[in-house]
Amino acid sequence: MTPRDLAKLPPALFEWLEALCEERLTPADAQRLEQLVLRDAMARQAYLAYLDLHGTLHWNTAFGDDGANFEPAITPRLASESPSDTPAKRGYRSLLVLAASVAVIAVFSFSIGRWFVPNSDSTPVAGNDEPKTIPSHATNNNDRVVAQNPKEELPPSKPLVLTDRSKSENIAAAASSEGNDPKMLNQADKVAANDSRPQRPAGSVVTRTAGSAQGIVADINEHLAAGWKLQGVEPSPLADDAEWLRRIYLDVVGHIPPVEVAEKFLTGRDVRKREKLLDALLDDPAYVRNWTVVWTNLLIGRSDSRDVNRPALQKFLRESFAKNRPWNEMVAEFISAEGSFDQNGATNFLLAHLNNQAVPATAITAKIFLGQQIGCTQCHDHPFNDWKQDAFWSFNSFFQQTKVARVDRSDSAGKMKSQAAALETKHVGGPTHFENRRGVALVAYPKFAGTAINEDAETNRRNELAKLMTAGDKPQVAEAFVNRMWDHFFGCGFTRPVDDMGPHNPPSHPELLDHLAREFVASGYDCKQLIRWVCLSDAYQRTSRFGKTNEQDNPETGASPLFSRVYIKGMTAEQLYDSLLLATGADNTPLATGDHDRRRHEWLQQFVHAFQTDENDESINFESSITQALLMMNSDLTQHALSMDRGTFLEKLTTSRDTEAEKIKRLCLATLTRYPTPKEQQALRRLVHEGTGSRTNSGWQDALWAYLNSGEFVLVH
Amino acid sequence: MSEPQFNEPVDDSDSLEQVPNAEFVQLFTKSQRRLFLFILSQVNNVTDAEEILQDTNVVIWSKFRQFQLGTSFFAWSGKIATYEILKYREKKRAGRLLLSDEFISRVAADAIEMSDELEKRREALSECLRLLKADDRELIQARYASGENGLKVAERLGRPTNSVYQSIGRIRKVLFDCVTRRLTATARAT
Repeated sequence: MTPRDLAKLPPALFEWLEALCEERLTPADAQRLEQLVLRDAMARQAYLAYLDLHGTLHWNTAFGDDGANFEPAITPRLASESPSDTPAKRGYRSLLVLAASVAVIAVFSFSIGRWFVPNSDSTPVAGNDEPKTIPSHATNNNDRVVAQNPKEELPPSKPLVLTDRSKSENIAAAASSEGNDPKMLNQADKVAANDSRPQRPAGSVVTRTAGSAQGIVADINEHLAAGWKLQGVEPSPLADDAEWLRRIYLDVVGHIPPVEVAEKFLTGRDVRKREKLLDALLDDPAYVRNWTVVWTNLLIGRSDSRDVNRPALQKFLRESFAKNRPWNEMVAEFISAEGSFDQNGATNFLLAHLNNQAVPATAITAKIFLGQQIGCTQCHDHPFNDWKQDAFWSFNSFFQQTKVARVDRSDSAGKMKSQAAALETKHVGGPTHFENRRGVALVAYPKFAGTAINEDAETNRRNELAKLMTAGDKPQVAEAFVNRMWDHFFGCGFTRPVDDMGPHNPPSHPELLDHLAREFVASGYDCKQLIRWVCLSDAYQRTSRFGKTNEQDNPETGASPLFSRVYIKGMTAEQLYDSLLLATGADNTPLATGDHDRRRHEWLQQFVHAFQTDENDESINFESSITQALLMMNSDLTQHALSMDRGTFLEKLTTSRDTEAEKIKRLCLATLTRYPTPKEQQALRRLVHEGTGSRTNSGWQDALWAYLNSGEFVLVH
Repeated sequence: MSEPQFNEPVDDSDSLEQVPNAEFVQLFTKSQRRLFLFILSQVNNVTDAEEILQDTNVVIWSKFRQFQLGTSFFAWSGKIATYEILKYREKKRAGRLLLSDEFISRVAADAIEMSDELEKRREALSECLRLLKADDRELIQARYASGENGLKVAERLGRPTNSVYQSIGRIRKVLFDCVTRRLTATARAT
């Protein structure tokens, strides 16, 4: 049974199986289920596997230790005679001749893995980081560890946090490695001091023009520093150039820095090099590409639907981000768009969500653009925030004139070729009808944030809504966008979740958020300007590692964020894909062709699962695991990525005239954007030598594989 | 108060006949989950499946002498379970049976054929659970906590029932797909 087999089965099968698990399958559906299962052997397998999963969850909760331990105590054969043990191992070897990698990964686990572990004595988390890279033994080891510590089985969803406790040796190692000489760190210090002068703000006198980039950066610094002082927190030290470079690349353009850029940047002596690089990145075509990906995913999700023209939406976003169009203009376009989905790309946002009486459109518009979760208010008043049920339907009422039409597209010979979906406006007036929980029918008139509009048929409601949403000197649209951007760069917004703002969930830094939102509006909703403020702030220059003095600043534990460091993020699927291509040179022009986008999109589909829920949810079950990503990738691509074919990174590396030590440094730089520690260097040298005996240069392949497999690669830190 | 005495000397020759030996006990313990899942695939209801398992266990213990060490314990106990399932269905026939006899027998046959794969899936499941988002994991744990079901969880959380069903269904499907992918990845690597 493979994902492909399952894709061939009717989706209804899984709905029936779901209903069966919750004991709410109707007799009619039971009969349909039965017919399908009897007829189709694959459906039978799916049935058995689904019920088995249901039963296993039940059994393990009921009979495992205290309910948290899903790994049953009664299957001791797992450890000893697990049948999946050998094949997996063999597979990896045949893929890459990996005889020595396990050893080297073990070495890395020591040096890299521990780097990221919040608490060096909490084994399960460490286990979570490392053994994924070692398919067989380690997974079982891991399971065993977990079985003994059921309570600790639950790692945070973004699992890895840096700490000072384990840092000593690694930082020492990092500092002594060639690239990171103390001079460089001093320089970074100077840069940061230059960019964001008031490091100890409260008392410092800063001359600045209100609204200038410098001024706003200083404001951010001041607000955050005040919080640190109040909480008795010492912020993390400044990040070295390597850490900062990798982070800014991933955050702004969506992939790791190319090795050539890294080399140049790390050796550059310009004190303003961080600021200059940021400006260069904001003007890079990859900036446009990255934000197009980010917003396509937010607006229509990753899964495809018939009524959505993804390329057209992407084109709209590309053009908008390339021109740095004001954010309020873009929002207004999405809300008021009309026309066919290919000719006006902005229509695709609503087209994706107009099903089901525009309920998803209502909820998602509020969530994405206003940062407010109102989905549940369609049925009842929000238990926590200000939204009442009638407000939901008043908001929904703005979408009630909207109609999805189909337009035939014919070829030159006049033959119908395809159909395009289109957004049209029906000229109807009057209220929207809804029922409250007691079944009483009620009406709602178009009203947003207290302002009602004319409900007649001639008023174009969406045009009015677009105006209402984006007017004023600090509309919610601005605050929501600032919060989202802040979250994007710091790994945590002023609120958690980032799109659940409201009195029930007060922001961590209300004044700062308010101030930034106002400045953002004053700047003309200038997205690049906002990025500049955030990325030049003192806090963004800091390392993601934390020390004793600020270890409580960990939002993962539920604490309110202080931003005394930059929190670690996992790479998104797109970031990982692009970074892999970039590091390995698998695709010679990886980031330029439209073909690449399509291939990445196809690759992603296996992780995505869409739901026709009230918020058209989808889940991306992407497990930041390189091993899996590689195996799941188009196999040609994988082969190519790790091959010695002309044009790949490995080919260039191995045929260059550099010394072995230089090559090893370059390998580390290309994948992790830093120089190897002496210990790593030693391990790699050994690996490379061992490999050269068995097959030409396979040692280098092992080394690259090992680096790509490290937990460090998949993190944005 | 007289405590029962466990350390009294036992007549060894007799005990072989009276009490199952250690190996049998071990086989029995190990097979419990598998047996439960085998039954569940045919009755679709965890409470009923647990009951049938209890009945099956009673029979297994009473017939332990018939089991020959060295043969498949699962095959042997599976037959007993199948018989107990039949009895249960006879009892229920008066009421309403969701699925036909033909269905049950086909599924039972396939379940045995698939049992290795299912076992591998169970192993992969624990890793997939670990990879869930924290919120999702909490919800699915709440759903499977003893005596719970989707309806009760929804009531307890004060969320609309449908949305809870949807979330739980989504998480289960995510787990299901994750397990499938893992097995495929392993197979492909072989």
